[in-house]
Amino acid sequence: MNRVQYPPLYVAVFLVFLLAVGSVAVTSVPAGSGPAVAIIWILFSGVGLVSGWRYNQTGARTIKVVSDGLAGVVFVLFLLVFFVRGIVPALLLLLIGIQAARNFTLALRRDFVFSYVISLVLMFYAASVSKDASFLLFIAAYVLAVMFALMADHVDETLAHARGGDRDVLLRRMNLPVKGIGLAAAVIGLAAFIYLFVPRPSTPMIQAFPSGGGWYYQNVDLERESGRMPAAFEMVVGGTIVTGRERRTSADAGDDPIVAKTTGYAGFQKKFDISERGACAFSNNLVLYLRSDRPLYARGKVFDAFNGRVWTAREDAKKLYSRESDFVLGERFLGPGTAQTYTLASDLPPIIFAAYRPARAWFPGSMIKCAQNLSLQAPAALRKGTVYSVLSDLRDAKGRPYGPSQEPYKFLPYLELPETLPPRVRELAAQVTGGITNDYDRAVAIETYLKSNYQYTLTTALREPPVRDLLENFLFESRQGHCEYFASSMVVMLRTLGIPARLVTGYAAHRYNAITGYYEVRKMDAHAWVEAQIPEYGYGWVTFEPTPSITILPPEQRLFAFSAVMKYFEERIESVLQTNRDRWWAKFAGKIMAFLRELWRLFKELLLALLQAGTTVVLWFLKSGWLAILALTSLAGLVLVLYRNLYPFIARERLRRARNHEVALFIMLCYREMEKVFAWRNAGRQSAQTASEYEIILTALPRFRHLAPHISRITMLFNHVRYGMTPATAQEAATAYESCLQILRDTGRVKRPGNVA
Amino acid sequence: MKKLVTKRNVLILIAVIFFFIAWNRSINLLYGMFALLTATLILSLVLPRLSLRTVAASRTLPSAAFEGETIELSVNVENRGRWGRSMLQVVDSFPAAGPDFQNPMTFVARLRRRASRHYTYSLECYKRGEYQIGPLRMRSAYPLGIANAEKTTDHSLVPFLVYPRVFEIPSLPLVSASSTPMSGVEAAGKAGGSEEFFGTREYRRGDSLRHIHWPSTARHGELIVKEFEVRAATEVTIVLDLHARSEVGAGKETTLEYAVKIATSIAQYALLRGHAIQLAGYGEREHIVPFSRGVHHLAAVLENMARVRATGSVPYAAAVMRAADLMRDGGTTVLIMTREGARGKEFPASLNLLRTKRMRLLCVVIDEGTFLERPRRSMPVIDAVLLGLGASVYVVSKGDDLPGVFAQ
Repeated sequence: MNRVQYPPLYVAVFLVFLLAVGSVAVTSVPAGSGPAVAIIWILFSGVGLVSGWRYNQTGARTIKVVSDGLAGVVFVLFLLVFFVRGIVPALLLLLIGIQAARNFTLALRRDFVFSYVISLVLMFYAASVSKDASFLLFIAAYVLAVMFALMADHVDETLAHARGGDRDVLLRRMNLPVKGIGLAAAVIGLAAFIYLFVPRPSTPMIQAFPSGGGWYYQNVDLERESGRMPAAFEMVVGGTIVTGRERRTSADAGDDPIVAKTTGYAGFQKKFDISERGACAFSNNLVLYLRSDRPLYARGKVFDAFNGRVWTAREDAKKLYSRESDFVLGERFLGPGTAQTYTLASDLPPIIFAAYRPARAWFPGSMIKCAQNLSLQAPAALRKGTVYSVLSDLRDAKGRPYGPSQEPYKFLPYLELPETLPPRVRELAAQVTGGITNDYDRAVAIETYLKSNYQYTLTTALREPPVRDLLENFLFESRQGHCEYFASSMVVMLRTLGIPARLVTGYAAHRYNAITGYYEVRKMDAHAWVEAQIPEYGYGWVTFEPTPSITILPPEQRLFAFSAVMKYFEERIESVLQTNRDRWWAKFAGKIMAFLRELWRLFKELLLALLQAGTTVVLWFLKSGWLAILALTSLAGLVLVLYRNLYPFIARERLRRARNHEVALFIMLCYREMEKVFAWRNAGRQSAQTASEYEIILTALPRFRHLAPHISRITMLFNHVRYGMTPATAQEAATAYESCLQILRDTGRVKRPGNVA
Repeated sequence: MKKLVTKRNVLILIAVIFFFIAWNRSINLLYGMFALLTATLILSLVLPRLSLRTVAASRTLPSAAFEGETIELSVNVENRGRWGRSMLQVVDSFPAAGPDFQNPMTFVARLRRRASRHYTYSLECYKRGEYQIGPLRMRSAYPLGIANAEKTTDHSLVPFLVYPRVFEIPSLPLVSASSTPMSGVEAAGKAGGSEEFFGTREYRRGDSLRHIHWPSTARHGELIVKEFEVRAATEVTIVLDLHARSEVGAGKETTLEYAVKIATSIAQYALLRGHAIQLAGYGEREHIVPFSRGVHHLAAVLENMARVRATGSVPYAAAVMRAADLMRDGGTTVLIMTREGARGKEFPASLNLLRTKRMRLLCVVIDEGTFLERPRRSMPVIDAVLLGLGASVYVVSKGDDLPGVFAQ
């Protein structure tokens, strides 16, 4: 491989490596130490590359020794980190360290290729673990750096092989002969288009599910019960060996102080007062990243007993054990189901959030708890960075998620009513569902009633609740409240109708970040909703959403990212405008947004109309249009064939009748007929050609050679008539006629224009 | 086989891998990397083509050169477009150069719109022969160097002759001391005549009165005439062995290349000394250069020598016999052959024919065994025969210092 001659290539490698290391630092290094780590590596790489250039020029042995020594140090560090932190951090350190060491002797083109490969591996790793949309900027910057490197590499390669030209000029200059900004803009613009419109079929998740990692939750009870400690300080979690991680001993799951401290949502406590929501109601902080192919309700706790103000969850959870961190919940589920992978972005209570109905869970621990209502608990409060996966048997009932039913005898707790329930609540339920016999429709009626007639507000969570029955006050007097009021009202009303119902708290995961592909769950997404047991149509526990302004989102096909990205940015803009709704610019922007929305709606309607028109045409064509078109085409073809075959006879007849006309005109008619015939045979006369030139061309063609005497005769007579001094004779007319007939007779082999004989 | 591991193919493979991983794991950021890679690839395929759209190049070079000589080629690149162009490469096809330089590439870093650039570069002519130079192509991989676009800007093929390298021969016995010069030749030491003045002598009967040197006559009191050296000149016929089997070796180190160099050098030696030269070789076609004198005749010899190929089917003995018909009695015949070429029953007969024509023989025997991959010395049988006939014999092996061989 050639030695590098073009110095900017070193600058390019520096930029590429800088961005690759930076991206790994951002995604993998603990917050706070990222900048320090990045600066250290930047300096190290910079010094190395300067040394590399010197080595390229001088080949100094000292530099080689230093490089080899550093590589040895890196290898020792790799072993240390491997035993302390695990394989992934060790490999990252190895890649970065080896490249930094090799920078000192970077001289051959082969070495540069190796550095590009390493940077690509680092970027690939960072992109696969990052969940922040802003990482896209890193990727864009990296690609621009790679482009710069490719440009410099191209110049260097040209210099290596060139024999002359601007070789010396370029060696003296450091800047690239390239318009970089324009190229960068073109790449980013085209990439954005591809990103938005490349089709994304549903993912097969081969060897990609389940995922696990982060913290490992050891259950000391397990060791106590089994009488021994684990042999090695490692467990296999989701296919990843977790070594040397801090072990979290099991705490009393469900301690309220932990819940309050971690999420501030009252609904995750064992008992919760529906008048309290907690500070989370107004917090935009991220709590979870969810990878799933659909939006869903991530259940946390399920409550069955209600005294009119406080919900209580039954303590019937059983412990499940697994050395492999693979927990089967209930009957064996054969799938495919809805795969979910949760990555915690902050500390959470010891609740394993999952969509109903969870069938299998992969949790980084040896024990979890599972209640009869299939709510899951972790052995200890969850720490940020924990990753776990759940597979749920999640089905759709007319756009609503539902899970299969359980044994009927287990429904009884979900029919209990508070002793102090006001009679008019029962009456209201009966009134709303009057005349409906179907449980599903009755539930929908109540849901619709609550959505349409009550107002959602968070102010009720902030002020002191009335002394009187909360639900009665909500349903008949204030007619406004937060989601817990709506959900509690619906549960109580359904129970009065004999429909088993329960209140579920958790997170509504509906904020899809189209850039990262994760659902971003925030504290304010803590929510309460209803699950009702609907036997019709084979449904089980069906999810209902009585809270206004929140709709159950059915699974959506995201074949193209365009719509999801637009929706994502629209939601973010709306969120910003909502937060600043009193400012003048927010009002102005809101008007523009409304206008754009209306424009987009019109555009979609136009597209839809065009699509419908096109569909109509296609359907008509499929039904009967094809027959009509076929008939027309056949008729046209028939006419053409007939005309082609009959034309010689027509022409001959025309000539025969014209024989009695003036001789000169007749001869010219013969010539015109000849021109027509040869035009049919794809040898028409060009407008710039004279008759004589045309004759030469025609007679030179092999397929007309046998007609040469006739062509020459007619042409000669035509010229005589057109340009001659003496008039034509009848004999000449007869000659022209005979020659024309010969040509016409030859057109028994007339071909269609375009087919050469 | 077309090279598969190119930057473009590797990037395509990486993009495909990214796409599949992104699709399998539903990682949108990897879709982003895939999109950026794909956009880069698309632009790298499109931009070079656009870069070549309004540019053209032309090249001039001399019509001939000697083997080993460095020639200057001049290139003119023109941009007729509205936008500047960068990193334009001009690639020529120059088969006369060495194996690694037959597609020389030069480039222009930046060419502004509606501008042209002129530059020159050098190439060494590697081996004698007749070549077609071109076509001239333009290539661009601007700006990323991932994919090339190429177009032929000049389809013409320019003929180019590389003459064989000529070396100085110190001396060669083209004329024997006892031989009588024949037609077109004058005896040495004749008063007057041509060529160089080298002294005076007493007047002899028959000398022209125009050549009397009057100052010497006055001084000596008797008639003194000027004397000129007239070189004894002869007609020299060089016969080459162009049979297909006579060429042994590879590249520039073949028996034919050596023979051509020697023949050309002998021709130059003879022409510079006033001899007449004739050339005869019977390859796929006849290479006959008839007798002529003077340095200008060397051009015709060089042109023929540049073109000869050992592609014939005429054995050397037959070639000598055919060439004998072109010879006039009493001249000199230079036979350049391999030992293998001189085998056969007809070769002695051809030598006899030359002897009857009283031709002086000068033989250059090339030991073809030394040109083989595993060199060996061939049996010098023919050398003895030639020496027995009174011929001057020079034996040449691969790697010999040719001037030194003829200095012996």
